Amino acid sequence: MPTVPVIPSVWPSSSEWFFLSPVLLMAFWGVLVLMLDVLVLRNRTLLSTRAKWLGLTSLVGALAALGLAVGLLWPGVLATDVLSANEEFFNGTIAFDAASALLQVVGIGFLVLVIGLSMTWVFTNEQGEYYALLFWSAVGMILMIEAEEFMTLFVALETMTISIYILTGLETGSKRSSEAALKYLIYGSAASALFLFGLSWVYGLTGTTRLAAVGRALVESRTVEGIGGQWTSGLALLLVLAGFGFKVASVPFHQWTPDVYEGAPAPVTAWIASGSKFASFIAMIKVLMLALGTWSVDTGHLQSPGWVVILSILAAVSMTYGNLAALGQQNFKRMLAYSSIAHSGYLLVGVVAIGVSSQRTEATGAVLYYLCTYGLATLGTFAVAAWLAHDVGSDQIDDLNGLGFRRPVPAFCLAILLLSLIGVPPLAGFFGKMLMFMEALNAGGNGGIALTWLVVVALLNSVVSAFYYVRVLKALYLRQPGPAIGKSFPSGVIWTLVIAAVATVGFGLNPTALLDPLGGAGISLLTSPEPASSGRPVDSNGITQSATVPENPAQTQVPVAPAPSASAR
Amino acid sequence: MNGLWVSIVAMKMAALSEPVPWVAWFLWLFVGFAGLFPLLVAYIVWGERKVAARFQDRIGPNRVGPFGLLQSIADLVKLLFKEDFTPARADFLIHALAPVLMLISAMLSLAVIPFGFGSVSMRNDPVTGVLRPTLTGFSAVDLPSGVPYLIAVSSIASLGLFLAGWSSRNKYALLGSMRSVAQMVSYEIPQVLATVPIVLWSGTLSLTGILDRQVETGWYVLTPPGFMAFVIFMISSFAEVNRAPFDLPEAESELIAGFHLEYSSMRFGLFFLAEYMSMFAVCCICTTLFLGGGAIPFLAFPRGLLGGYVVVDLFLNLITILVFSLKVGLLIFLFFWVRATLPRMRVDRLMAFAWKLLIPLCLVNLLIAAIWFEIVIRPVAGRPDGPGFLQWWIGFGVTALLEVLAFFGAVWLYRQDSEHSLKTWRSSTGSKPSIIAWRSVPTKV
Amino acid sequence: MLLLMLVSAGMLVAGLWEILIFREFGPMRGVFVQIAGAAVLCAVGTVLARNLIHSALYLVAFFFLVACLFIMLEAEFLAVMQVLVFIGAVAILLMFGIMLTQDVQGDQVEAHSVLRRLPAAIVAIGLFVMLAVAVQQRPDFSKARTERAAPSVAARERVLNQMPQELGLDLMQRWCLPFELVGLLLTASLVGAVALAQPVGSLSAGSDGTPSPGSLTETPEHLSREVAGGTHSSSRPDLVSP
Repeated sequence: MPTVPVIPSVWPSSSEWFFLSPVLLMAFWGVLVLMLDVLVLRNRTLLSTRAKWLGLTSLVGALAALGLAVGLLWPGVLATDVLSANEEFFNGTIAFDAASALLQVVGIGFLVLVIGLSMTWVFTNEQGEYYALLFWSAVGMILMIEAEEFMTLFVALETMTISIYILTGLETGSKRSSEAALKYLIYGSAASALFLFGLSWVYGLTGTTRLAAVGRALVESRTVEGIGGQWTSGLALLLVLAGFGFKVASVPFHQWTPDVYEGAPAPVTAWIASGSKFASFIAMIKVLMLALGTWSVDTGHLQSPGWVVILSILAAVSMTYGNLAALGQQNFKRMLAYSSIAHSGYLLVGVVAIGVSSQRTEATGAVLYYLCTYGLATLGTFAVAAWLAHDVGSDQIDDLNGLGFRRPVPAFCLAILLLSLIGVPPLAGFFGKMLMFMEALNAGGNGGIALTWLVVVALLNSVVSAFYYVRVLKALYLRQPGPAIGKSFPSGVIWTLVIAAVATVGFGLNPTALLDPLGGAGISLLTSPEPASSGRPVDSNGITQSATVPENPAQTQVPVAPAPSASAR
Repeated sequence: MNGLWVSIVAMKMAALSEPVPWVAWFLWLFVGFAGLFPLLVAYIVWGERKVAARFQDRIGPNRVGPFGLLQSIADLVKLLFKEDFTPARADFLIHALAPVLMLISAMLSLAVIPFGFGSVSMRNDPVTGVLRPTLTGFSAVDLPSGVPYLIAVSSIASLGLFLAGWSSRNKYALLGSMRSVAQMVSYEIPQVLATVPIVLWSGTLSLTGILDRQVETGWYVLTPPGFMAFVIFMISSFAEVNRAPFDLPEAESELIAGFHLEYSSMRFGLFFLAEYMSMFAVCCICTTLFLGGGAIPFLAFPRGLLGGYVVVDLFLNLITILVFSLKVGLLIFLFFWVRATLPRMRVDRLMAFAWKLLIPLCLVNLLIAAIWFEIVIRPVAGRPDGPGFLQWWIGFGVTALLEVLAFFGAVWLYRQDSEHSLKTWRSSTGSKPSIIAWRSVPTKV
Repeated sequence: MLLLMLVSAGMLVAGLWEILIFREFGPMRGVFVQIAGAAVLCAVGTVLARNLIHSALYLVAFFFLVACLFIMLEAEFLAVMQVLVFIGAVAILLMFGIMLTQDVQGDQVEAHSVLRRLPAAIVAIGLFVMLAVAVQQRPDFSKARTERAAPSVAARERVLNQMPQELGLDLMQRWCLPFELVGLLLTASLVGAVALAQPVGSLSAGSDGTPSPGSLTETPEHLSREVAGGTHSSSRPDLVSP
């Protein structure tokens, strides 16, 4: 008989809050910046002065948060092995393990670059609100990465998304910005509703909202009942995938992408393309692997082919559609939007690879590597878009004509980033793609699905993508300079570009520097925190985890492999 | 067929209400809600006319019956026999539904009021969890979540108000209902926030529970944060029931009659009834939450005697109900007094008053209430003798000081702001217009 | 009148259905069927009503019936909250929104053609079928459920009698992080709403009362052009240029 559970329901200890300090700092810093604007600066100073001070304050806050996050990574501060096995961290709502510790550094790093980018250009009257919302969306983003439970995940996702809706519409006096925000809001609300509906179905099926517990419940019921092939699970799975599909801009849910990317102020677009996508993909991997791992492949029933097949199709369609649509674009931001859809496709290949590969942690590491490098490259390219919008007053690719002669350094950086986005060998983009595709071919672990066709499609698409990226390169180096090109680059744009380019080259030449820690993060990302063995039977929903519950059959449980080393490959 | 239907319904109702005696339900419904309360309201109207007449140096109704006591009945008959008129283009069903909704809202909020002490039974203490004798309260229903229930049902009234204005197809009616919805939505917030300290101190949402705590520890209005909450609650209640000086929705001089412009006959009578009944209900709520319900000042007197014989219980309940009525009567007199004294508020100041003065004050008051809780209530939770003399006075001193500071601070800020608004309004309408100045202009509703 | 007739007819049909189909009528089941039937009718009315306010009213009725269902599930606090939030706030705001945007004095509603309604109907019915099949097929989770210990009688009573208290404790302890995060979410929405709803000035207006366009070099030219060209949607020309 199951014992009456002792539910750990306590206010989190101070050490738990301490591990959350970067997030807390950002949340409070948002309030601080807002108050600084509303109470001190507004109606007293000129807009430019206000923007400068608020930007600097925000930058200081973001750098401090970055410092804290890095500090938590410092050996000794964070006892990783203890924490990763702790299910009682914040009563099981979030996990703070190697993955979250590392990935939050990346997220806050993106935030720092976006804030630097925002400082170059006064595009809104609502400066305080702008930076505050930027901070708060980062809070949502990081908690979304760390979430171990559906409710936290959903609330964090909404915090991130709603802040970004508003950021999208904040450009003063721009109708396109308002239009983009409205479109984003409407599509986004519908997608969120579907997502929540799907989550509620999963809750109804399993009686818990914790990712790990959902995984366990599904495994058990599968062995008994064969849940994988039922309408219920199929519906739940489709709804959850629709929600994530919207967030990562994969094809049937991509309609918002071009308009929002084009209409939003360039720094916000950079934030959507890097931060939001980064967090959404990580949350997606977590949900699909930890909770819904059982549904990855079909179980012989026709109704539910499993998410591996669904995602493979989505990936192929996203890549093809994104690349083909990008071919015809004249607008730089719109072209990048379609390229972002295409990259979602590549990344979905990676997610599928995690589902099928025999080396899941390596596959996860590869996806994370791609996410990081892609985020950096996007930030760099959108920095150029910001410069275009700010100084040239236009978004067209033709406005970049001859930039290589007039401004060699930024042009060279942009060229590097574009080449990396194509996937040219010594650069980081190449390694990301190569690793992901290799893992997709490395099937055999889970049902032995060969994804050769998907990889072939992805490779063909990479070739197609080269066309439109090269068009930009051609504009940079082979065209006569236009009249507007003489304008100087603001320092924020230069910094972002240089950091992105250096990182791209550096991680391209030495991928293990990034792959090793990310692979380690991949392990803890795919490992659900085990129930504490202290005789404190826990589950956030009151499910007693008695010791007699049999260990899962190998299907969903990710084997905890030793730290992978990329050099082994 | 019909008989079958009726018998099924009867069976179901019998099964549903098994734990509740039929008789009590019947009495409450037909004697209380259908008989006594409307009658009471009729005499509240009479009282208002008399009081207002005294304020204006008149005599008031004195023709129908002794002291004009039958005046309300005569008015009722008049209303019943007038032509029931509905505008041709009006939305008939909604037009008919609106006054009923308002009346329902007022009646529903009366359902949870403990008019008397009821009896005594053993219940868990909400703070310590220990079983102890607790008042059961003489109320139609004792809901464990009574306070949110009150908020919920009072929000139905704004729906009725809105529909009344909308369905009439009349500009003035629509304007009146727009004003009223904005007003009610805004003033609901300070009203609710003012009840939060009470809930915090009592540890329960049940009105009976709150009454019980007050009988034990003293009335909440006698504590500084409680007094502040009482004042804020009363002010926002004036606005919630659309009484002067907040009677903008029906401002005669601007909107003719506002939302009930197109109503006549007994439908108008229902609005009339609903308005006075919600005033009565609000006074009852206020008495229960702040003024110790039916408790005699500074005494826990009938409490110890309850729970013995039924006859004694009934007699003691009669006393407590009388005390309760007295308190409610005083509050209702306050309503009359204010109406006879203060002019109507200006529409743009109305919103600013709620959002910029009452709500911040409420939030600060909540913090001070928490200080009171920590000093006076929490340390003695579960002890029978309650807070010591010194402790009570320390708490009183500290919170009273803070309340005074908070009050003057809030008023000072409010004044600063309204002066600023006025200045910018003048500068924006002056020779040198600027867009920024336009923003600070108070929003008109 | 239509509303009243519809609802009463629905109750009657539901009652008959209950007698005919279920054969046995425990009081609770009967009440449930009637409430649920009325709720379905109200939901249908929400979709089919031609007048937006009528539609919103049906929605209000639906919310209220859902609150009734909560009461049947002994979740009284939830029912109260349902009325408070959905009728007291959401419905009122909805109607306010309709009133401020539509031609409220008339009943002008564009009649949707069948062609436009058909896809919606197909999707709705399809979803219904999927849900129905899914519910019908729902796997028996008896095994997973046994893990969850049945609450003791005392615990159950405590929760039922002090639902707000238990809920509050749970929110402040076990769910404290999502709870705080919801606070942040609401703050962000509020701040954003204020920021978006502010009357749009031009970027060049810098300080209180002192027009200072010339001193800002960072003002993007295309924006200034846009403002000067009058394409600016919300700027008030009467105040911008005398």
